[in-house]
Amino acid sequence: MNAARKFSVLVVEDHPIMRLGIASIINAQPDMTVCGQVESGEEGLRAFRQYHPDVTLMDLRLPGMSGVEALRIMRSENPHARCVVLTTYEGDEDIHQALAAGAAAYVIKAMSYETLVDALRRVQAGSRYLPPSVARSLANRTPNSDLSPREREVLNLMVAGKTNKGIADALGITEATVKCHVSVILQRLDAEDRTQAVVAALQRGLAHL
Amino acid sequence: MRSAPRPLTSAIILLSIALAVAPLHGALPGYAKRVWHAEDGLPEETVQAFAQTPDQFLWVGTTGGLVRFDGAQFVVFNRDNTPAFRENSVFSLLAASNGTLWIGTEGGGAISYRNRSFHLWTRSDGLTNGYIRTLREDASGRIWMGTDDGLFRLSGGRVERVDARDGVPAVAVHSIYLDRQQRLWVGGYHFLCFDHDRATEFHLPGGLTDNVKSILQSRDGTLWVGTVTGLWRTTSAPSSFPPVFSRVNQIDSTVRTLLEDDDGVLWIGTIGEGLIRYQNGQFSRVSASAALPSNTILSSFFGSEHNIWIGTQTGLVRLNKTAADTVALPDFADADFGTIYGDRDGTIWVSSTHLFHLRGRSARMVHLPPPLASVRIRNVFRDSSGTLWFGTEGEGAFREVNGVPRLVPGINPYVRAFAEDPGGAVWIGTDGGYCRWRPDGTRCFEEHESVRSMYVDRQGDVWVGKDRGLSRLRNGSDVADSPIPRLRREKVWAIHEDAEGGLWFGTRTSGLFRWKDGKLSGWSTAQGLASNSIYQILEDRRGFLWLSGPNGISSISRRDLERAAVDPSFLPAVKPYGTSEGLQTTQMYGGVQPAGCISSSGEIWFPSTAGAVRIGSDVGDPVAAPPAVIYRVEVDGRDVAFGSGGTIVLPPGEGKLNVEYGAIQFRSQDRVRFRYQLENFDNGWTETRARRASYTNIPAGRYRFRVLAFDIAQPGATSQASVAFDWRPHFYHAWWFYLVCVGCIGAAVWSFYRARMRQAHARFEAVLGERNRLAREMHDTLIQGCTGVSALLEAVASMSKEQTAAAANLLDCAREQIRVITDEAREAVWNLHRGGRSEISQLVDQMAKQACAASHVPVRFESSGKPVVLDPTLEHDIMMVAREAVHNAIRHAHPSEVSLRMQFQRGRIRLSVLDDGCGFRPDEVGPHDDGHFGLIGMRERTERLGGQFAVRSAPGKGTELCVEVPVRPSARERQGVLNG
Repeated sequence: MNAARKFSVLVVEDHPIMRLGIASIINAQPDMTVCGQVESGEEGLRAFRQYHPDVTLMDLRLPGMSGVEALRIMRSENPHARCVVLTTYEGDEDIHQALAAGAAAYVIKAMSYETLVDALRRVQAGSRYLPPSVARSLANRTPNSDLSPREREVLNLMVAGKTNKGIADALGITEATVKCHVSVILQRLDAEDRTQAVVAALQRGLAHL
Repeated sequence: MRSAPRPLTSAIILLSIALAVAPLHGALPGYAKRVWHAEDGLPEETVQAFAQTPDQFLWVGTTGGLVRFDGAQFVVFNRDNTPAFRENSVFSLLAASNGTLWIGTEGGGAISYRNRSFHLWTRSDGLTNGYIRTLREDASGRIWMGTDDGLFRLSGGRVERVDARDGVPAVAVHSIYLDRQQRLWVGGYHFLCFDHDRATEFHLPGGLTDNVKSILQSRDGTLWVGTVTGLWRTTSAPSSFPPVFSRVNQIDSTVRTLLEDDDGVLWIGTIGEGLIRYQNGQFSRVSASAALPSNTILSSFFGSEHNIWIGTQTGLVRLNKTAADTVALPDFADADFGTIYGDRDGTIWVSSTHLFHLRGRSARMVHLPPPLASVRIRNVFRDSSGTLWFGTEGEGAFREVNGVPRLVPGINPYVRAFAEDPGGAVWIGTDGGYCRWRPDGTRCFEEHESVRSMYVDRQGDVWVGKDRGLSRLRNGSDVADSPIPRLRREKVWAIHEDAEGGLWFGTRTSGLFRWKDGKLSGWSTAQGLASNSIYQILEDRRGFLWLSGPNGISSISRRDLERAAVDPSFLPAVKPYGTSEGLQTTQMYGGVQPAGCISSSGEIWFPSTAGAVRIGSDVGDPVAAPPAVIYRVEVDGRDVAFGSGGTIVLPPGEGKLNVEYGAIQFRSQDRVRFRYQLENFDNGWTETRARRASYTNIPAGRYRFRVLAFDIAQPGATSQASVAFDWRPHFYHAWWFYLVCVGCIGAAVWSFYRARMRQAHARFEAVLGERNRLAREMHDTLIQGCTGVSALLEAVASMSKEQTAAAANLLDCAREQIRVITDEAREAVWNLHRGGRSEISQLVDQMAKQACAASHVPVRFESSGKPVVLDPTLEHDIMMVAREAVHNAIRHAHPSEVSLRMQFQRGRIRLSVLDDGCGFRPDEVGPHDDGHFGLIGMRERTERLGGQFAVRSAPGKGTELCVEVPVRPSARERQGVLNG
């Protein structure tokens, strides 16, 4: 099986060093090449439309539009778009979100280049790829931790260190409602108090700093 | 040897001069009298009308206004204080059955008074004449008013004229009378009788005019009619109508007023002839010279307490029947001593400046033969043999032998008391001791103290009351100096033995004592006695003790006293006798016995400075208690209006309360006592004679002031008046104020708690913020950096051997990146250590100096504007940018100098880094350009801060890097809690 043609990879990554490293890894492979390097979701979408890459390597955390969002749009525009998510996040919720948005593979940034390359090739081949640690993390995901959008907002504000009053002011709801949301969140995350909830949320990718 | 009792020796009376019955001093025997003049409080002395309202007040119409009288004080209503009065002169009064007081004025119309308000009736009400001469209520409650021009009748709130129509002549009316047949008699210039509103005119026979002034039907049915020329009466049978009148010949002066008292005595008040009593067919005159202040009698009234009120031209008179009177003595002069002795035949011996002998109502001055002809007799005594004894002042004691007084030899000449023992020996008390006389001789017992009283009790013991102490002789010779230790220092002036063998001692200063069965009981004013000074003790047949003293006489039941001795709360009924009871003086005599006696007919006699006081069979006192009245309530120095029954609501104040009260009793206000209590404040009753109760510092609350009034002669019968208060609290004593206080404290506690919570939250927030900052720092700096380096190294690892140049490039990049990461991590750690706050300019300056020291390239720093303390994140980012810019300049541009400038503007910070190095072409800087990754990082960081990033450079021209970021104030500065 001879690679007559190298498949193209679009790199969407905001960190320049990271970008440089990834691009170097990809370009060093005989069967793949970087067709574009952009640093935000919006640019990623533009480049996607321009280059029609075979695989898009997408960082989840991007300035402006998030990676998941960009992914969703990409997939809506082209349901056959193949995406590998590259992220530092190892939380189950992130993985879940990314996969839900249509990512075919999920690669953690600190993994070896073989994993990345392997993932890209498999996705190019049309299959999915989840490294074992990611798969394990996903399996641990408590289905119950599905938070409503409002609860997610509340959680994010909790993680930002806001008090109930602050959350209420920020969301324009009453403090009592906030309390109610918080108690649901604590229950869902199996947390004893706010701090535990915040830690759990960060660990599990329900919220990010 | 005893001689047989003999009647009073005629020999002694040989020289006595029989005297005519003296006109009794009071001129009205059996009546006590009291006169009030202007100086007693009457506005004017001409008293024209009386009425007594159901509340017992006596209303007196005078020429100076209407007067309300309670027996103690006059309250005047007239033009000066009452708008309804257009004229002061009140000519007629009527207390109507519905409680309204009707006041007829001379020229000012009629006034009705009810519930403390006056209402004036005048021409506009139909009352066309303002001279109201008489007022009368008929059986159906209509008020009839007789005026100088017309007879009026008030019914249904409207005054209508009755005369001068329907055949009734126009009349000037002076008297209206409703007889027992409900006929209304109207007298004036005509004499009319209205029988069921049908008028008949009568003419009095023989009268010069028919100018009728007064009409009265006495209890026998006789109609009496007084005119300006005399008195007429019906002589026909009371039931026959029309009646037949005939003139009463004894009276020819103007009969202004007629009154019948409850004894059926007719009192006829005349102009100029005084008062004439008609009783049992006899007319007798009471004239001004004797009993009345004036012979012009204008009004009369029979009121409560059986009082007869007489209004004269010059004063108000009250007459009341009394059992006590003073028997005036011929040629009597008050002296410093006087005794009264009741002889066994019922006659009375009075020893004073002269010796008098009273038999019935006749008094004779007794002139004794020598040696007593000009000797002052102190006392008289008749022994069981019938022999009369005389004690003298300085001449010794004498006994009458065969009609001649014989000196008893060997005794002190100043005699003060006699007594006789069962053996027939006569004991004589003197200023030098006491002696026993027996036919066989005299034996004297010397004493340093004057003997004031002597008594031989039923056991034969002789009791000697002295000016200091008491002695007892037993068996004629065993002397006990102080048989009753308590009385050792008392002046024992009176001794009495009751039927049960109890011995009673009256002292000069310490009240009354009883010695019985070896036990002594004592009574003083504290137990209800009228006085602590007792001159004489008598006991009447009913068991009442009669005590005399310097302040009058009182009678008190012995049983009551004995009960009061064992029950301190029991108040004995004490009936005092003073001027109200007919005495002319209350000053009795004492110190020489007998200072009072009971005659064999039961009359009580005492010597007084005005003569011999005689108290006959007692007449009943008023049974009802004197009505208590509250006159004035003063709160915190202000008078407060109060009605009956309601509660006075008082504003918050100082808690000072004065209540003035009294009681309505016309005879003797000094017998009235009060008990008062402020319920809710006083624990018990205060008993007093005072008519004012004062309180201070009464806390807010609900109270009722109650006052009870009673007559000491009947302490069991009390009347009551009360007034209730609701003293509102100061707001700072009100319950709601305490509630507010509690609320405020609660709110303060709550807000303190909230503040603490907020502080705790803020700290938590700060800690969380710091933790987040650290986490972000770790993520942004370490993790991102490390993953980047890791990616570079992975890339190097992925490359084939031939790609060494590219790999070396990547490794270079990785090295550079590691250095940056280390710097940033150090910076983060340094930030952690840096607890205090610094301005960004100081930090940048510091950083520039460090860079300068490390690279030996001069780095200048200057700042302008007002430096601010920034949010740590922002501060960190700016520091990062500044550090990166300086490093870039030093590493890549090889400058001779780097200058850093920081400008603080409103809401912005502008940082520029200028070097004079080699420069570059900014547009050629691409993502692959390894040397300028820092530039991209700086740009990204700046944009993340919402700022602008600009680079101006050209090869050989140096580089200028410009960063401008918006500034928000530091959270530390905003809250100030992190350092607080």
